[in-house]
Amino acid sequence: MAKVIVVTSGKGGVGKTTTSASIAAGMALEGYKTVAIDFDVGLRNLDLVMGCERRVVYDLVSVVKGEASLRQALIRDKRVENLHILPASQTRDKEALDLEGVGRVVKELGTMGFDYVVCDSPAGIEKGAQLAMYYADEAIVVTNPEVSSVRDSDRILGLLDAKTQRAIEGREPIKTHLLVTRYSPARAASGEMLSVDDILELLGIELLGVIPESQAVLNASNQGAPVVLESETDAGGAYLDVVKRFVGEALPHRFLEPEKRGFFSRFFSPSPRSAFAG
Amino acid sequence: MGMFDFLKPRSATAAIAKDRLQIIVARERRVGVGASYLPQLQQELLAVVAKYEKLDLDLVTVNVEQRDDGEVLELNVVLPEERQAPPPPTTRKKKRRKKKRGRHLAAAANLATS
Ligand SMILES: Nc1ncnc2c1ncn2[C@@H]1O[C@H](COP(=O)(O)OP(=O)(O)OP(=O)(O)O)[C@@H](O)[C@H]1O
Ligand SMILES: [Mg+2]
Repeated sequence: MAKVIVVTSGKGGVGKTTTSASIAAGMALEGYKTVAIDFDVGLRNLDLVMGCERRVVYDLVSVVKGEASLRQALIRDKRVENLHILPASQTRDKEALDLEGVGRVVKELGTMGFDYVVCDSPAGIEKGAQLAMYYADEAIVVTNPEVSSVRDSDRILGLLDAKTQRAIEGREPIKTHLLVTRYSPARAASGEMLSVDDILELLGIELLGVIPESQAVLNASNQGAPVVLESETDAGGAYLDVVKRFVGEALPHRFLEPEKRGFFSRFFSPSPRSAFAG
Repeated sequence: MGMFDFLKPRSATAAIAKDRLQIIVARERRVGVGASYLPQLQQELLAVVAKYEKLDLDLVTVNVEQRDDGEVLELNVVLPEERQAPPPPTTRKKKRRKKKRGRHLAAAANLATS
């Protein structure tokens, strides 16, 4: 049986697609047969971020509608073995997908020997997001250190608890992981930005990792390569850590604290909150 | 607040963000539990109260709270501080008019637990 992971957030533009691409590519690098599915019908982007946009012929909707077989629609990545992409449709409307059809696709992926199915959720809390999460075994909740994102994550956690197959059938609940992205340790330390600790306290779920705000992300998406493939960059390395943690390696968290600086630069810039907090 | 607060940059607003989130998240978790009719109920109650008082929607809150003895439906209405236009002196009312500031109308009812 394939393990189904949904990457979700509620709020738009927080880094779900970036994360889905890197988690899927990272899993494949680790040797797991992985497929990333784009659930953002009408606004597909995963293919672009993963650099296979010119090879899209069929998509998730055509498979659900029976117009193409799953094998025809799956795109095999050219750089990473074991990595596959099932794109979303750009032209169809959101109503084209239904629970039953998606269920058939997920099941067939399991019989094809996939280890991981990574579902890139659309933004929002409506049907599209609920379809993407329905069959999930685990959820990666992508959150930016910002009020609206944290609030939406909390609402998504409520949906994961109530509207997924596991919840409805009364099985063991979905495992939820927090991924804080676009994080600036220095700004959090100076009290300008919600800290990872603040977010953990508010949402009360386990921390999977922290991805720093990074130039490398745009640079990677410009070229159509998941940033995890550039593992020497800060964000790329952070995503690789996340993947390894996910599959069971005990790695310490990074990017929680600002980088150590020289004595003088530290002396002349704002001190971390902890130093002076009354 | 420490005595060295002046050393912090002026934009150290994360603490405010956290406080606000704690409140809104707690409220939404409560409302999220089953009571999907609450917004509707709030509208209808408002309509009733508005027959007697000038109100605006922001000042009415409806909540379902979980307590030991079951669920309690709480209605809280903040009444306007003063009337906008006092009636002309000739039409003095015989009734005593309460003149309190920031008056409150609050009600709570136990919901039947099913
Ligand atoms: N760690 C990061 N550092 C800098 N930029 C980032 C980071 N993560 C994501 N971004 C940028 O944020 C933007 C939104 O990212 P992405 O498309 O992954 O979000 P999304 O949650 O999938 O959005 P949508 O809700 O529209 O599907 C992109 O321009 C991306 O390059
Ligand atoms: Mg996206």
